[in-house]
Amino acid sequence: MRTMNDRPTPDPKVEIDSLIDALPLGERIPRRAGELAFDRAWEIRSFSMTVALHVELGFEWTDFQKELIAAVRHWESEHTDLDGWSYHERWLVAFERLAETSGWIESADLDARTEQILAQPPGADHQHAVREPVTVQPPRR
Amino acid sequence: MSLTHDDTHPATTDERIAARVKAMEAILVEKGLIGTDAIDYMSSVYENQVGPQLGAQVTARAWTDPDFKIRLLADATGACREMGVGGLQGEEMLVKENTEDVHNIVVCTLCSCYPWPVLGLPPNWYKYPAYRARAVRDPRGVMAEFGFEPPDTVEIRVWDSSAELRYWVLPRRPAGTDDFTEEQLAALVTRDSLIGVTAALSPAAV
Repeated sequence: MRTMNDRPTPDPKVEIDSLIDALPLGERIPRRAGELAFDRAWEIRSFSMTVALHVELGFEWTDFQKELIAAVRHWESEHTDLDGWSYHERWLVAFERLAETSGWIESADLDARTEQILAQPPGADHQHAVREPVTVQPPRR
Repeated sequence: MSLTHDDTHPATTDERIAARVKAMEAILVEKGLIGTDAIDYMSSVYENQVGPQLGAQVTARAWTDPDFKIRLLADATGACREMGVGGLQGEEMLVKENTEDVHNIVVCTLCSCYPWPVLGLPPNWYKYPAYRARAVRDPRGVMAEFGFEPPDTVEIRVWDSSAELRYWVLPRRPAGTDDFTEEQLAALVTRDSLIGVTAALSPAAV
């Protein structure tokens, strides 16, 4: 990181876009102004984990595609309309399944860790309100 | 597996999913399969998407409605609620106003406490040790890296957000915007200006 707000170079977006374009059920992919759309932080994190693991570990993208199709089909088999539909939730289900079958995670571990995180009081690591500035730099002149 | 983590504050489906994603990342990182940096790198492409639109709207209202601004500075949580903005991790918020004489900048020195309901997803750099340490020690140096240099006559105040109390900054209204609508003004408010590492955009920049 050269400076604080450096952007990745080269911009990985082109590569990411080609991965998205290769996904099945393209009409279901949420988009805004043509771009993949996210509404929640966890959606971005789950998406980024999948893509980063693909790049780092080199798993076949088609393996993920298959899991995504299966996750969508499973949801469709249990619902008759689109109430409660979330593309990113299906994505997460597919990614979890891929992670399990690839031996990266065990579902019992994941359940336990999730409960552990939920059991923490909000902001357990940084509770204390700081009501004065931590630094005041007077004018230079 | 219990459905709630305590009796007084049941986790919503969304909180539960967010915790699961966090758990998955923790396990993958601990196993050495992936680094947090690699995930940050990918997510930086999209971090602006879950963006600070709400904070921008609140700021534009404060610039155009003096009574609202007074309420915002006195009780940011309440004023934001008036505009339907609030929720998890925005329980107590304080807004610090930039003036001709004072510029404010926000950091979370220990982790990455951040007023999500207003500012959206925090940028990756917000949680980097480099920002957390340097914003306190050398705020002008950090701002310079974002291309922003407040005049020497300005006092810099650095505020430490925590889980109990989260800060954000009310930037100065840019010059040449007297006849702007709230919507036009909101377009000048960036996430970085609400954290205080930059000023709001000038009309020429959009």
